[in-house]
This record gives sequence, structure tokens and C-alpha cells, in this order.
Amino acid sequence: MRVLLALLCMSSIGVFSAAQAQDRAALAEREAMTLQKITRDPRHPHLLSLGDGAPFPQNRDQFDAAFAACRRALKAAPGSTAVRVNLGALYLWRDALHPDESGNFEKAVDQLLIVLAKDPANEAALAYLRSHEVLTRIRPHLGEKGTASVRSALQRALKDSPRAPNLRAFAWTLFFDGKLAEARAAAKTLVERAPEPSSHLLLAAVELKAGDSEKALAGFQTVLKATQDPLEMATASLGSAQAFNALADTDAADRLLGEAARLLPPPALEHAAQVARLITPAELGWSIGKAYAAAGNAGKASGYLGAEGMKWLSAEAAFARNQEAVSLFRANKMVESLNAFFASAQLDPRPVVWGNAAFTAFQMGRYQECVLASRRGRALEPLGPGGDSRLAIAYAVLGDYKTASATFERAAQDAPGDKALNEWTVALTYAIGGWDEAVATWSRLGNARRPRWDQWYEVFIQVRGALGYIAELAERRGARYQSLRHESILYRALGEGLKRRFLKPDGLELIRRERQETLNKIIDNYRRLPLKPALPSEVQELLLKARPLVESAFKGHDSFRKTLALYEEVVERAPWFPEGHYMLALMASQDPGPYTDGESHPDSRRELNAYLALVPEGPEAARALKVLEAAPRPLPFFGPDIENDK
Amino acid sequence: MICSFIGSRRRRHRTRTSRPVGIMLAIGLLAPFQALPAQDRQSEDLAALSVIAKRFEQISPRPARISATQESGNGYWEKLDLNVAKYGVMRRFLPTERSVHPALIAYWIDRTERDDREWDMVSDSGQPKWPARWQFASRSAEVVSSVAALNPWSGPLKVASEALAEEAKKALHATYGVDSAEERKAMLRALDLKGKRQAVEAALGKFLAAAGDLDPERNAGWKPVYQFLLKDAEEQWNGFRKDRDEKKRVDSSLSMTYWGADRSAFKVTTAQVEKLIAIKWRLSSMEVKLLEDALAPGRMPMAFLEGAAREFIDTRIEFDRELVRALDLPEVKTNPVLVSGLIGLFDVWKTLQRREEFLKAGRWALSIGVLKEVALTVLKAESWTKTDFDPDTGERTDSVVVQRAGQTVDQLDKCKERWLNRRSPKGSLHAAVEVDEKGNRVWTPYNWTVWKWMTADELDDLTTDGRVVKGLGRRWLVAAGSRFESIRSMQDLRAADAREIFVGLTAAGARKGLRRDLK
Repeated sequence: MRVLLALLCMSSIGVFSAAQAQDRAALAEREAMTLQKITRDPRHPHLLSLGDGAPFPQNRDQFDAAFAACRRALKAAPGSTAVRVNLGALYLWRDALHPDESGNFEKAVDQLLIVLAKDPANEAALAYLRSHEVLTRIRPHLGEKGTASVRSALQRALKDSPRAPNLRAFAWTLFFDGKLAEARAAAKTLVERAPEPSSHLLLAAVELKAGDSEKALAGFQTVLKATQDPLEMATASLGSAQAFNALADTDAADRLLGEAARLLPPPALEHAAQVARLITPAELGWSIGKAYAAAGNAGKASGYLGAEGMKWLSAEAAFARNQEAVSLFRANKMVESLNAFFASAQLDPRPVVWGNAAFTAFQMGRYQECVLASRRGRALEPLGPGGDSRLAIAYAVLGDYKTASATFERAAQDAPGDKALNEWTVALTYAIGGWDEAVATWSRLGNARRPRWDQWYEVFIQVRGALGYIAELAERRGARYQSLRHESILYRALGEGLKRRFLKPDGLELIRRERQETLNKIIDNYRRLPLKPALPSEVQELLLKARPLVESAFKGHDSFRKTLALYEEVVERAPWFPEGHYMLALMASQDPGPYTDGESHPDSRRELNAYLALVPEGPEAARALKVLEAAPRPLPFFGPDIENDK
Repeated sequence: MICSFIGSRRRRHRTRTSRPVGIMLAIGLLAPFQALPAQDRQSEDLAALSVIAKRFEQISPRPARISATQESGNGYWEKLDLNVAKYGVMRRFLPTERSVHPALIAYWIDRTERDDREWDMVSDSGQPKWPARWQFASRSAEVVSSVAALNPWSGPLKVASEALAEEAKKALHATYGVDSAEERKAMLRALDLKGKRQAVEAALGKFLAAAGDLDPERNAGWKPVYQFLLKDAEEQWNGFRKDRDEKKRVDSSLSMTYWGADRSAFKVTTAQVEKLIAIKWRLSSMEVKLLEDALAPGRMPMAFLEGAAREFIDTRIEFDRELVRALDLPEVKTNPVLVSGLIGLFDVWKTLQRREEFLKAGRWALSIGVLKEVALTVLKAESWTKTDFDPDTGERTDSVVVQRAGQTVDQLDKCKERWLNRRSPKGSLHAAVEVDEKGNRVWTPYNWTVWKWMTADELDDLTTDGRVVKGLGRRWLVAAGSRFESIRSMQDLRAADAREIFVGLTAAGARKGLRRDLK
């Protein structure tokens, strides 16, 4: 009987799985012989080498013969517990050979419970009932009620026979039922009565499942000291590794998992883990790998996780970083949030994360990063109208009007109903090409035909709104070069409003003031720039045309007006160009007129003020001041306070 | 009793033609001569069917036989059917129940777990206003609180119900809304669905005990609660029914689209396929009613076969006949593409097997087949849902209902097989059923599909094991290892946790049915 029980225990914790892997043919032969023995004598106590939880298919005939013999014997002598145990065991594995039958498991358990009722100390029945194959199937096959009836049968048997095998079976059943407190109490009693390694192993496994890793670790260490059995040692090492991992000692967990893997081949070790309800070696390895990855030990981590695992982990980490970034964003910690979004996108470049990064960068005024994130996201999937608009505005703020316009135009094709996208396109066309192109674009984008003044008004409003917005964004960000550029275009656009006469008088006054304020901002920006910008090529061309004309400007009215117009154009296009204002002031001081009512005319005093405001220490500053003092003061001045500024 | 299994149309026809033969048979004159033509026809049909089956086997191998408990398959459609049927059964059950039945508590808990949020009103912006309340939990609490005698129980019931509804939503989210398996496991582990369920059960128990006699006619306090539950079951039934019908309709129209993709040029077969799809649709329309009737409170399998199953069996016979005809069409015989089309639309092997069984053993085989299908629907639907949880891992596991329904299917198969092989089922199928404290059989929403069924041989084995005992004028099945040798009182009954054994399906009807079919 002792041999039988040893075999039973080994079978239930997986030794045979390992053995079978080595020599399945020999095992099958041994199994066939056992079945033949049972056929000859159904009371034969040596059935239990049916490894892998099932007999070999080639032994089906022998299995059926043994089964029939047991049934016959039981009919003849229903009180024979030895036959009944064999029949119960055969029922356990019958599903494997007779897949067209059902209810075999229930019949198996019934047989074993009948045996226990008659012989509460029947070790074979107890060993079967606490085997992994039985414990894992009770609940799904028999339900809550069946589980309770097995438990109470074992409890009754324990009452009648308060011995260690009964206590062991009862404790294992409680453990598998998830009744950890009762299982712990039973396992403790078992350790007191039978302080064997297997008892300590059970208690440690219960402690680990109950979440007390330190007690579990102590228990597993006791087992490791007390046993030489490779299976128990491997199970205890695995349990210790899991406990160490829970206690955040990754190196120790790593070492003990290695120990366990050295003691048993992988299938046997996995089975041992399942039997003791530990997490499997693969799951534990994964967990250890993750811990190493979190600690930055990529070498160790990839050893456990592999390339795919690392990729998965990256995705998981990316998800966590994205969540963290969202929380930071909500807490208004923008810099940290943006960094976290970028880190997330680096770990797992998903469009949604790039989109988050682009949005955050835009909110922070970091347009370069917004463009970068948006483009990365767009490479993976279309951004949609919102994302496209954001990218285009970022381009515009950075001064790349052409790409911005193209982006808006493409976005408008994807979302034809979105009027705002067309308005932006019109505004940026003005920045690139000027008034006539903007009006042509306005018409091309499918706007209904309207009177010219209406068209102009629409175009003007769109240009003023868009450029004002991007100038403000650039200014808010402190990007003075870009700001200067946007404000210069806005200044020119506001001039269109004054020049083209589609505004009412009060509107005109408003725009005039706005224009002056824009000029003030331009002056302010210009003065703060450490390196003054170079003149745009079109302004240089204008100057090249104007300079030769200056000499002959006063020879005739036409040439004067032509030269004046050229300088006016220079100032319109580069209102931050001090010399332009100075030359215009000189020309204007000599301007004989006449001007019709409402027509704008150059004001030498205003231009001189602008010149002095732009370059208070400029080469012509002294002369300009003299002219200014001599000149009358017909116009109000809205520029910066030069006196204070000095 | 079994005579009514036979379809009314066929019965009328046979009544006209077979009466003189019956009389002659009775006097033993013409029996050898009259029996021959029918048997010859049957043999011819079987031979023809065998040829078709062999031809079909060359294209599609005959499926291996495995136990229903080991069958893994999609249970989506069955789940749709069972969802509707369960509420249909509840609509019948509620008006009949006069005491606290486990099914009533199960219904309440199930509804609470599947509760939805509702918003009191919608704000100006069209967005729902928070906080939302749980529909069933709050409405039921309102109804309970409206009854003065039950008012004290409404608060605890509401609190427990809301907690359960919240927990169930979290479990649902963890199961379907979380990508990471580890996160899912951790979330499920953290939940206490069972505890919350027990809390509702406890609150419900107290409230129902306070409610007294659950007769809406005599107990004015119970009436509003009863009406609320009945209305709720009605609404649920309607909702699930519409959903199921809509999906089935789409499925049916997709069938024709599938066929029409590149086979519509074969006009004869296409006409036959259209006919088959129409019959299949008719069968599908009957399925829920069939299921409802089979699972109705107290419904015995024999009574079910005599009632709702009759028309279904007729239609099924028609379907099988037409599908076999389709397989025998000249253009199908020579064109494997058409055969594969038929395989895509119909379960041809099942039809061939059913047809063979019908030709061999008449309607009785099909009757058993219908019982089996009911059990199979329960099995598949429950496998799909996986309603049980492993308390340790939080993973959903197979329900014991799956095992029980699977065993019922296997027992019915065995019963049919024995009948087909021997033309004489050895004994009847016995059932072991739980009883309540008064000794009445406990009905569950799965009814006979989850009874413990036994063949005569198995009953013999159990008798040998000492598990079959007598008492109180009945036979009882006691638990394995039980020390009870007889049941003398109700106390014994409870202590032994015994189940009543009775004959669930007789063989007599089978013999009678075959005789009629062969005439």
C-alpha cells in the first residue's frame, strides 16, 4: 500500500509527466500490464500509473476489459472497497477513451465517496480525492452543491478517522475551494501532526495564496532544508521565487526560478506549479521580466520576455505613460505631460498618443513639436479636420504659410462642410500672394458670387482674423521674428481695409487705430530683436526701383508720386524697416498734394516718429528730431512714447 | 398518449386510408401482405438515402461522435434563443407562484446584475444629468417602499441592489473592456460579486418573508410588487425577442445572398434552396416558443412532445425531406460547388442522420431529437455565457448547468440509439430531481434539461451502490456514501439531501409511434 500511495502522490504532482516525456512507450506498456492485472483481479491495488491524467489510447481494449471486470466484481461484492476504488479511478480517466460519454467524473467521485463512507481511512480514495485531476474538476462538473458534498464527506471521514491523510485531503480540498482561512487552519494542524516537507509545502502554498509572502517564504525555505526530493524541491523553489517576487526581491526570485527550472523539465515544473496552485513558471518569468524592465535591466528583462514580450511591455508601458500624461495634463503640468506623451509615443508609436502630444504641444505654444508629433501621427493614420487644422496653424505660426495653406486646403477636401478651413486658406493665400490672390481663392473655394465690396469685406475679415490670431500665438510664445512677420502682414492687410473703402467711417477709424497698434507692436518687437531681420527680397526689389528715382523725384509731379508710392509700398511690406519710414517722411514733407477727402496720405511727422521709435539712436535720428521739432503737429500720434522709451 | 405525436395532416390522411388495414391486421388476415409495401418503401427510401450519404461523404467526412459535455462550439444563437425563452418562462411562472421560489430570487438577482442606468431628465445641452440611478434597483425599491408593510425593507434592498449592479458593471468592464489579461485578472480578483449577490439575496429574503403569502389576489401588499415584476419580465422578454428576431432575419436574408453570389444560375437547385431557407426560417421562428414550452414551470418532457413540439417535428421532417431531395437533384449530383453551397447553408450531416433515423424508427426518434436540441440549446447558451466564476482567479468557468445539460443530451442520444438498434428501448429513462421542504419537485428555469437522467442500467448500478432507497411512497436517490437506507420522514429527506427518482420518458410511446409510422 505504501508503494501505491507513493505512486499516487507522484502521479498527482506530475512526476509521471516528466517520466512519460522520457519513455512513453515503456510507460504505455506498464500501463497495459496494470490494466491486465486489474482485469484478472479487480481488487488489484496497482492502477495508478495512468499518467498525464489519462490512459494511452492504444490500451483502450485493456482499459475496457478492466472496467468491465470491476463492474462485474462490484455487482458480485458491492462491499469491496478495493474494487470500488479501482472502478472510481477508471471512471476518472474514462472520458479520455470514451469521448462520447458523459458523467464519468461524477460517477468517479461518487465511487470514491462511497469508499470513504465505508472506510474513512482509505488512503487510496483520499489520495485520489486530493489529486489535482479531481480537485480542479469538482466545481465545474458538480457545481457548488457537489463541491460542498465532497467537502462534507471529507469532513465526516476526518471525524471518523482523524489521521494525517484525512487531514491532508481535507486541507487540499479547502485550498482548492478558495476557503483559505479554513485551509490555513487545517494545514497548520497537519504540520503539527505530520511535520513532513509535503505538509509544510501545503501550508506555504496556502500562505502565499492568502497574500502572506513572508510566512510563505519561511515555509518554502523549511521545505528546501528538509527534503531531497526533486519534485518537492522544485515546487518549494518555485514558491520561494514567487514569494521573493511579491516581496520585490527580483534577483532572489530570478535565482530561485532558475533553481526550479534546473530541477525539473518545463512540463513537469508547470504541472508542479498547478498542483500547488502557484503561478506557472512562465507567468512568474513574465512577472520577473517586467520587474527587471521597470528597474531598467533590459538584458535580464529581455531574457525573460523575449523580443515579443519586450514589444508587448513597451505597449503596456506606453499605455501607462499615456495615462500618466493625461493625468498631468489635467493637473495643468504641461511640460511633464508633453514629455510623458512623447515618451509614450516613443515606446509605442500610436496615432492617438501622437495626437495627444500634438495637442499638448499646441496648447503650450510649442509649435515645432506640434508639427513633429502631428506629422508622425499623420504617417500612421489621417489626422482628421481637427488634427489637420492644428498642424496647419502650427505651420502658419512658424511662418511656413505655403505648407499651412496646403494643409488647410487638403483638410477642407476631407471635410467639405467645414467653412473655417476655407477661411484659413484665404487668409494664408493673402500672406503668400497678396490681396488679389486671396480674393481669387475666396471665389475658387466655392463662395457664392457677391458684390465686390462684400467679397472684399469677407476676405478682409478672414485675413484680419487669421493673421491676428497667429500673430497673437507667436507673440504669446515670445517668437519675435515670427511675430514680426505676422504683424507686418497684418499691418498690410489692415492697410487694405483703409485703402479699399468698403468700410464705414466708424469701421475705418477702428481699423486705423488697430493698424497703429499693430505698428506699435512691430516697433516694440523690432527694437527687442538682438539681430535685426534682413529685408525680404520683394522689398529689396522695391528699394532698387525707388532709389534711382529719388534724385529725379522733385523734377515733376508724376515722378514724385511714383517714388512716393514705391516708398509707401516698402513701408507697407516692411513696416519695421526704419529707413523706409525715414525716406517716406522726407518725401511726405515735400508732398504738395492734393488728396481727395478720405484718401490716406503720408504724414511726415508720423513717419519720423516711427523712424525714431524703431531706431532712437539711428544715423538719421538727430536730423529727424530737428525736422520733427520744426514741423507742425496736424495728426495725433499713437506710437510708443519715445521720451519715456529713451 | 403518443398517438398525438403524429402530425395532424398525416394523421387525417392515414385515418382515412389505414382504417380497413388496421381492422384486417386486428383480425390477423392481411398482416403479411399489407405490411410488405410499407416496409419495402421504407427500405427503398433508406437505400436511396444511403447512396446520397455515401456520395456526400466523399465531399464532407462524417463527423465523429463526441459527448455533448466535450463539445466546443459557438453558442451565440442559442444564447439569443435562451434569453428570450427564459423571460417567456418567467412570464408564465410569476402568475403561478405563491411562495418564495429560488427562481424568483434568481430572477431578481439576475436582473439586478444586468441592470442599466437611467437618467432622471435630460439637461438643456442634451447630455444626461448625473448622477444616474440604476433602473431596476431604484424602480423595485420604489415599488417596495410604496407598500407600507414592506417599506422598511426597501432601503436595505436598494443599497444592496445598487452595490451589486455597480459590481456587475465593473465585472463586465473587466471581462470585455480591458485588453490586458493581467489587468483583467487583477480587477476580477478585486471584485466581490458573490458577496454583493449574497447581500441582495439576504435583503431579498427578509423582504419576501415580510411580504407573506405571494398571492396577488389575496395579498394586497404583494400585488404591486408582483405587477412590477410581471411588467419587467414582459419588457425584458419583448426586448430580447425583438433583438433575436432581427438578428435571425438578417441571418436568413444573408443565406440567400450567400447562395446567390455565384450559384443563382442553377435554377432548379436555387428554387429548392429558397424553399429550404423558407422552411428553416419557419423552424427558427418556432424555436423560442418551443424552448419556452419545454422549460415552462412543471412541464414534463412527454407533455412537451405532445404539445408544442408536434408542429416543429412536422416542419423538421419536411425540411429534412426537401434537403435530401436537393442533394439528389441531377445538377447537385454532378456539381460539387453546389454541394459546398448547401454545406455552407445547412447542417447536411444532421439532416442525413435525422432522415435515416426517421426512416428507420419514425417520429419517436425525431421526438427524442427535439428533446436533445432543447438540452443542447441550454448547454451551448450557458457555455457561451460562462456564468460561473473561479473564486481564486476570478476567471469565468463553465457552469455546472453545462455538465448537466450535456449529460441529458448524451442520455437522450443513448436512448435513441438503443431504440434504433433494437427497436425496443430497454426500459425507460429515469430522472432524479431535487425536492423542496414539502417534498415537491423543485422546478428550475432549465427544467428537465438539468435533471439527473439515468438509464435502467445506471439505475441498477446505483441500486448496487446502495444509493436508491425507498420511503414516503417514492424512490429516492441519496448522496454517495450516505448512511440512509430509507426515507421515513421529511427530516430524513432533508438530512439525506435525497432526490426523487421517477420515470421521465417511457418507452411505450416509442413502440406505439413506430407502429403508426410504419402503417
